[in-house]
Amino acid sequence: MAEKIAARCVAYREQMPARLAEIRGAWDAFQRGGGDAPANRDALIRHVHTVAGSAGTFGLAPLGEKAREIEQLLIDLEGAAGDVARGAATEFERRYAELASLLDQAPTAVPPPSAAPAFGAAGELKTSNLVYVVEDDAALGKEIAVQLRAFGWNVELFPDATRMEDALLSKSDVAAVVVDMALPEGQFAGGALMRRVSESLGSHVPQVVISASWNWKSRLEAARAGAAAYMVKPIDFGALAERLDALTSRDVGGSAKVLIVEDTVILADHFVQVLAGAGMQARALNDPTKVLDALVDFDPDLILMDLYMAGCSGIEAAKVIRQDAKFTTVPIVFLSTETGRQLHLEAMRTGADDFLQKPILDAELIAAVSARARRFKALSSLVRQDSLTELLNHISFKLQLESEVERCKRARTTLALAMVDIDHFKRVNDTYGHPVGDHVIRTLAQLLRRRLRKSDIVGRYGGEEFALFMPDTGAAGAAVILENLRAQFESISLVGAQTQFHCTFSAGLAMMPPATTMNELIQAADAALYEAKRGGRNCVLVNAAR
Amino acid sequence: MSEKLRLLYVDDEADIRDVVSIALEDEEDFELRLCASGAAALEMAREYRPDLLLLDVMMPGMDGPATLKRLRELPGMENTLAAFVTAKVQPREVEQFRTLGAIGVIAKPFDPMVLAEKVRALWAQRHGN
Repeated sequence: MAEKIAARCVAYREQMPARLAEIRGAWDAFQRGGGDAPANRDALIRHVHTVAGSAGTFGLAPLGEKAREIEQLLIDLEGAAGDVARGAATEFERRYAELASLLDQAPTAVPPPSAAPAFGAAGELKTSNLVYVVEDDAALGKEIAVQLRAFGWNVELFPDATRMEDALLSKSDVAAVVVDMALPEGQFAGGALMRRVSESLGSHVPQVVISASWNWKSRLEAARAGAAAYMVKPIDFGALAERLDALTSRDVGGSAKVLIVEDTVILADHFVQVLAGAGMQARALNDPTKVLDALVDFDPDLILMDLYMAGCSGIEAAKVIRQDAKFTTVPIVFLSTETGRQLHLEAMRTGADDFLQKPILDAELIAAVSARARRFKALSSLVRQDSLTELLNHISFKLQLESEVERCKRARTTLALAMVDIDHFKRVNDTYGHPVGDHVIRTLAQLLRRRLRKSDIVGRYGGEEFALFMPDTGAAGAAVILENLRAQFESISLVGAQTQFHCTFSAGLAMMPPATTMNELIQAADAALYEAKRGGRNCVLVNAAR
Repeated sequence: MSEKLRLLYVDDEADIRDVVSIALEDEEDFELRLCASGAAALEMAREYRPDLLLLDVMMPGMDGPATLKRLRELPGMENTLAAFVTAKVQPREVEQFRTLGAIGVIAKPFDPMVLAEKVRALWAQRHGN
């Protein structure tokens, strides 16, 4: 239960900025006056009151107390005018600023209110892929559903607000909502619906508005209703899917990986448990002489190493690790009972990043390790990513493939590699311009990322060429997956120069075995891709050569 | 207590409902239903027949006190025990809640780890064991 609550604390912390923005917006509306002043005031008090009543439950007690002060201020303000009202406005601004700075200071992983420090376990966060679409134009609704499904979303379609709200009563795992601004209930009924939805689901469920018009009134209405995105028809489905992805994903990168090198088995196991409990992937290695294999195999974001081990010391092991160009930057944190300054200095010279003293409190260990590991992970993903698609770039894809090939050889399993190339891409660029071409590339990247399994790795290999590998996958299985991707990509409507068009891709697939090296595997996949292009494009070919 | 204590919790905030359900779901002596609004609670109470109502006070539409009043009008629910779960805990307000027929108040923010205990204490205080 403590872990589940900790996970909710993390989620609640994440939606705090949106809640503050709601308070801000309600205050501004109240200050502007006009309209329904008592209703504005009630809405404002309700937003503040909600935070006052809930923040403490989710480990953010100081924010809750500040919100309560604000609530009291607002209640006292009733009927105030002139100087009193102006004074209260200053008071509000001051307290609101304090509230915002309390939020900045609040740790991102909030400890739950009373239990021992536990941190959000990544596995606990449920990730729903259910999207509610409210669209009265039946043809467009169907099109949206089909297109979003192609990107891996589970879509439920409603023709009007009423039916959608009925469905909401029995479902609570909606990940996002797409609403047409104009519904049978009225020209701006979409906005009203969104307000009701965020009241019942909470403001953390992102809502996207689609609208036939770009006009200011409609956009303003959407913004006031808390829309996270506004899209004008004709809908660009790739962009819609991408927005939904960005709005709903919590941590695309996954949890940080920590390799624990410690020859005392019982200690190593304890560290694994502590770090895993904090949502990290931890693996123990008891024999320091195997550390290089473990690095290739596990690709950790941080190494936690005992200073004294039988066989070789931690410092020696660190020197060996740093000799390899691939591992010069992964952080190494030493654990030791040693307090001697001389040894610390020597360890630092080998590239150690921190020194932790044994015995160490679990909370200290988590704090020291998680911050560093996360930073390293973030930095290395920047270096590894292609900026247009956020997929692995050419070099980092090949590095990953290389270590996968090694792993595959050792474990005697199969590995499938596919080369994917967009058909007639030059024609897209020539017809619609480069921005549209870029957009097509991003759409395919998005599709590949969403539809592939967690263990599959995708990279942007060249301009309009992608590469992906699938570990422990046979030729038949890989071909089915690719064929599905091909059909899905073909079905996606792309938008350029005010018209909709479709693109296709060709793919070549190769297997290891029979390939025995990475280069053989790549050449075989390239050859199959060439055949697929020559055979008329828009197809998947498997290299059957033995 | 051989039968389970049937709880009905009404709160418009999804996060709070979520945490309440985590805090109480493993308690063997409770059965729990959650509602997001007074209107939904009225609907559910008809067939669920709760033993103890836990109500948020400030909710859009029908607020907690109004919900309690309407629930009390349902046949067989005239004497169902009720408590408010609220961030309004000024003594004057608590007194007002009691005159509405609440047996007690659970202050928000509450600590999820001890919520079950608080609910049990409320019940025991009224019913003994």
